[in-house]
Amino acid sequence: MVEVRVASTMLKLTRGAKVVHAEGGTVGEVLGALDQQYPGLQAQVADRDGQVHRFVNVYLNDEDVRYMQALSTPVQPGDVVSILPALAGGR
Amino acid sequence: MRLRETMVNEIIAHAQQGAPEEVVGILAGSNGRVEKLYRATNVAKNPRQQYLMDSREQLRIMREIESHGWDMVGIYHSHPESPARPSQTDIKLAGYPDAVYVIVSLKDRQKPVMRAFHIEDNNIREEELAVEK
Repeated sequence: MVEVRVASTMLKLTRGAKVVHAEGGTVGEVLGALDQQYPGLQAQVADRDGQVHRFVNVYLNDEDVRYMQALSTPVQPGDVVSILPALAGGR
Repeated sequence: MRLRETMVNEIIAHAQQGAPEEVVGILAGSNGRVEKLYRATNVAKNPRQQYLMDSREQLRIMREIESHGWDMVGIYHSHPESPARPSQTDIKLAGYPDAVYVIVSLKDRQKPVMRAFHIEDNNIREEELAVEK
């Protein structure tokens, strides 16, 4: 089981749960499993091609998955995935 | 939000040093009072018109804030050439409804302007900045 900490902007989707859990062999599979419980969650994180949205950061433990194998990054039981909105804006 | 005058000066100095590019940083503290300022790196593709905090720095800073028992009370960024109010992009990408978005404008180079806003669900509300000596 992998622990997933979700952004405050996603709490409506998770019915208020800041921490949720799911099974999966990769970060993407975990998010896919969570999407079954909380429809719409996956679309908030990545597009249909599995690319993480530019202004969303997905971390596996202490590393941004963009620096690993993105959503194909393998996960182990006990890992923690964190989803955080990027700090971004522009004129 | 309450912060010391030295922090206001630090944010303005960061903005001036970074101009003409936008700069970004995090304000950490509790109960709306800022205890520490973290400068961060803007890795946007077009930093003169956008800010995007380095994702690794973001996590490192957020973890440090957590370890102190603080909250991320504010996020600051600069508008080198536009007014100190959230742009449409700032509003669209604002992902932290509990934080205060501080914007420093250098539109008038001689007189930087700093304002603060709550941004939630595409609505903005100005927040008072209480500066402590």
